[in-house]
Amino acid sequence: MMPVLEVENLSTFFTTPRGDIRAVDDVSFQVETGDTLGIVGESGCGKTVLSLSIMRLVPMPPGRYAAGKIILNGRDLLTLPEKEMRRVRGKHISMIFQEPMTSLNPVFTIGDQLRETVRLHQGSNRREAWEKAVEMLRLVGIAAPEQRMNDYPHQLSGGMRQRVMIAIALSCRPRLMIADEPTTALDVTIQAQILGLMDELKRELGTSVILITHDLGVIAETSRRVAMMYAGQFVEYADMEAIFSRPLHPYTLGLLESIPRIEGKSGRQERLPMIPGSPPDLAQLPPGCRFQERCGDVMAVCRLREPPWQEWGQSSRYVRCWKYQ
Amino acid sequence: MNPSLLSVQEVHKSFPVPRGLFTPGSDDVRAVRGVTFTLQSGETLGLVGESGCGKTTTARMIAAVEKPTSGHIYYKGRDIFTATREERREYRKRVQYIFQDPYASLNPRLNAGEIIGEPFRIHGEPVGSSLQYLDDLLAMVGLSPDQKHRYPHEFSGGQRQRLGIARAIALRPEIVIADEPVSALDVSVQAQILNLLKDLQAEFDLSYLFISHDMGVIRFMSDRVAVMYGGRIVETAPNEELFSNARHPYTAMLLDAVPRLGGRSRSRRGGEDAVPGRRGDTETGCAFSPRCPEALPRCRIEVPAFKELNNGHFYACHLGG
Repeated sequence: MMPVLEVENLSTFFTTPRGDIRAVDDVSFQVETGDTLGIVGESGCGKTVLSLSIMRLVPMPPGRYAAGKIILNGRDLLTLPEKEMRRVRGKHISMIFQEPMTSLNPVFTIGDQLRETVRLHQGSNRREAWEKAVEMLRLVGIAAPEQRMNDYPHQLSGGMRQRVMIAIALSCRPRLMIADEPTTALDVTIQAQILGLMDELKRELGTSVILITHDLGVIAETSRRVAMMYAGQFVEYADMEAIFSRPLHPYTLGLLESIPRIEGKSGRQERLPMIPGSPPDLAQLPPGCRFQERCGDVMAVCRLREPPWQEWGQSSRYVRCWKYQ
Repeated sequence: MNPSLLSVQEVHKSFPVPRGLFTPGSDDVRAVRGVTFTLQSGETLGLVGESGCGKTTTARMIAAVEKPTSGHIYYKGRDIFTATREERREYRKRVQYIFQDPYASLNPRLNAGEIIGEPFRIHGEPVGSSLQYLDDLLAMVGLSPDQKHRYPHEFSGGQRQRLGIARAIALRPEIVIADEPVSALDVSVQAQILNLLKDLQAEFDLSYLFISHDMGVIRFMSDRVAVMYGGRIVETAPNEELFSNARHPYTAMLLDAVPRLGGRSRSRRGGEDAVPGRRGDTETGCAFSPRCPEALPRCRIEVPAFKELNNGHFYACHLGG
């Protein structure tokens, strides 16, 4: 299958008085056509900087691309002039964010905001843009879309706003949609609706999705491939089933075990297994593995040399850990 | 029989909301519409529900920072809102609060030692008789005593929540209200905090009113669970019973909506995209009826009464006899 997006050895650093912050460090992955890649990580692991890097929205300076390529449709986005990049955003890659209230403009109706995107990228006239906007609202399951066009964001519930964001993001039929914690601010029942909607639309429109989240449950429901991110690096990358049935990296395993479950026969646990400590300071990384201080399996080599990113077995699994060398 | 440690009886709370800038008068938002439950010594009652269901308003009334519109809250048989000033003051010492947001709930101008020393100052007590006690408190929540001169911004989210917990247990309360204490935290840190809360409960015989929207967290923490919707408790049962034998369609919907780690399996339900407890909601009938997949005509007219299914398992629904 043709990959839509290929990211090769991407590194995004920030220059600060305390030294470089290696927010994204040597990250490589591919997104296939019509596929969903889930990227899981905790706050501060660099997952949002990664998505902003793909969109070339990292403020530079203080940020800079230290290395790597981002290839979309055979072109390296890092070499495009800003003018062309502006055409890529929204048309080829679009993005939805965690908090739909802050990413919608409160002083324009949702109809205005939808039509803006359509007219900018598709050059439609007013009438066509209106019709396309109504059609998009209908597609994302908003009842009476003609009336909703005149509503302002504050008149909608959180779930409705996120539907509008998705409608805007998909209005130009992009090849790739990056969704950064799209359901984190929503209640669970609404989250289930939005994830279902994203899945349907992905099938219908053939859009590939990068879904960024801290919630492994959301990943389990939506993604075919999963990447685990820790302290700026991918530490494991595999098929979803493989991640859950046989996690390799101690971080993946620790995270899976520390989630309180609602299913399970053995009744309620007395204590949750937990990962001790907290992630390292990205400006003052220790030599060796970034997970060493929190790892139960730490060896001498882990404190000396950084583990390489290597394929494991034959199932296109990758892991960054000395245990699997 | 001894009275319960805490007993909440038919509590209602309405907030007036102005009709508009140029329209006189106001409408009432009925945030809590008749909530009844008890909390026994040493137990954890999990309160679960979605945003706007009234869980935080209920908690604020128990903390005596909000007065019910009607109904009573009894602490060891005494109504806390008709109690004398001294009794109320004593009650406020016995009931402490842990907040969701460890960033917003700590004063940025106080250092860690001052933050956990504040409850003593407020209640006019000598700081735990000695400074040693503050060090012990920090150690109890997994912080080191030499961090007491640091300010909130120098701590991570998990550490800040530990500080919030230290402040809550400083006066050795009986009841701790934990309002979404781990929602703002990362998964790996969440497990640390939940274990800490369990350890402290065992050590100090604390009773928790544990509020969360996360069914997994509720299952791990609670002895009994109460599910809230639209300002009312719609189902309550002992932990295992609720998770294995949920009766209310809303409880079923909540459980069904939780993503399973085993992979995709279930049907997606979620009903209408409604926000419970908003103005303009139907004042008659079951609050959940507009979203309920199994609603009967009767559900839109008549508020269902509580039925007991078996020992300690109650639910309010017209379905199922």
